[in-house]
Amino acid sequence: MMRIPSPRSLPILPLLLGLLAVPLAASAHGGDRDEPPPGTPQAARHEAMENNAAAMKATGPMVKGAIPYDAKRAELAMRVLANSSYGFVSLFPEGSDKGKTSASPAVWKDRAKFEAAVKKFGEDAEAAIEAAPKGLDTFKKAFGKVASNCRSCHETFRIKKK
Amino acid sequence: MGLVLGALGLAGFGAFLWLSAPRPLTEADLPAGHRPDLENGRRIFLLAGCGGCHAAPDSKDRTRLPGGRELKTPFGIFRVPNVSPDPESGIGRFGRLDFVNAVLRGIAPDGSHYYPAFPYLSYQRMRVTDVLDLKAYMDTLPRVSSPKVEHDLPLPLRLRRGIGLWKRLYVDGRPFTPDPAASPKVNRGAYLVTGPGHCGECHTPRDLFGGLDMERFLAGAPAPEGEGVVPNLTPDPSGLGAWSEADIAYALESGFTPEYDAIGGTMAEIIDALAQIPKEDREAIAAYLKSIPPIPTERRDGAGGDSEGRTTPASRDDRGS
Repeated sequence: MMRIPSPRSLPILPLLLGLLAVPLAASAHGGDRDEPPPGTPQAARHEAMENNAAAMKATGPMVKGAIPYDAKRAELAMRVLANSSYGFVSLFPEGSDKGKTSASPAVWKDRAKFEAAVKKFGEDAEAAIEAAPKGLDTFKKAFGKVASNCRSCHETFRIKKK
Repeated sequence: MGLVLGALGLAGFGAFLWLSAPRPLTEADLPAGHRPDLENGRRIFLLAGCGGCHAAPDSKDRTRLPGGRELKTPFGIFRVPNVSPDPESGIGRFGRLDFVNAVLRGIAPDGSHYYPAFPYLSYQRMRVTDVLDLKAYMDTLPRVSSPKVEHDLPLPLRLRRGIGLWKRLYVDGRPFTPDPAASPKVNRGAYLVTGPGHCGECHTPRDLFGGLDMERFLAGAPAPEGEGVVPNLTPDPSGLGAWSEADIAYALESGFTPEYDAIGGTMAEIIDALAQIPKEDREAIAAYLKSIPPIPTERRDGAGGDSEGRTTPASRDDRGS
């Protein structure tokens, strides 16, 4: 007679967790079905940009005057942004315009402009790192320069597809 | 038999001419003694986005308006004309009535129709005084010379007179009417969005004839060129539902969504302009957008639900373009 294994004898918990992991991973960004597969350049650059948004979100309200200025927090946020620019262009190798990406074809068509834009972004962020300990007024100016990179880059090099 | 057909043909042609005739405003429609307000003219210039289309393609100077930009649409390629005050290449010879008919009715000084790539479908809601102020401001901008451009359209669409029929369907010529039940702020926002702002021209899907599908007003649409999408601006969860009025007003000034995604694409230059208008105009636009009917975003495949196929409220992410 076949013994039906009791639930306790099966590795139920790991099994369930394994089954749950798939939709959980998929919902890591609020159920975003258009997430690129982890480990790909598309995923890495997407994550870097998500982290940049978080850094901007931590800083914006201070610059707007909505919350008190915290120099250390501002500095760390700018370090996140500067960090994202290092090696960023290497996350856009030939052929990575395919798949799940918001990168515009202009990244590869106007490669030199793209690389210059990333470089400028990094430099502006580094200047903002230096400005952070010098008080809100000094930081505001540096932050404004950093923030202007976001829009001008996205104007040319990103297409939201959904 | 031939005579009957000939008569029918003539009658048909006559009907076509009558239906497609331009319906311009006249001198009597211009307010007597209006002293142009240049500051208001500049504000309207920024809101109406004239520089966004009419500036040179690679230029950041939005006060020089030589035209030349190409708009690739499902109807063909439109080439944007020169609207600097240059008398040869531009609109320097336009009188006040010429300019008002161009903007409000899409009619050229020679009586021919403009293609609705020039968004007079929205501009028709503008106040005549705002259009006169706009002309006065544009008359102060630099005169720029540029070669004449032609559109690249399939043969049937090259008959400009035919646009008169299209106008009968879509251009009612009625100026903006405020909603008596809404606040002055919301009405101001409604005027700015439906009139000079012409937001619906991109944010509303088009029907077969290129008119706006008003049942889905501001509910988002495919981008005019390329693969992108233009976001849903209605207060549906799949649109701006999770955004406050302050969030919307801030986005229109800074280009940042509540999650600090940086708005880009063709909206970037619009934000450059909107950042320069008075704060209360951005706040009015925000108030209006929170007041319109919520409409769920339609996916490209025509399915309902939000842009990611969910039917539960979206997060505040991912609203930039």
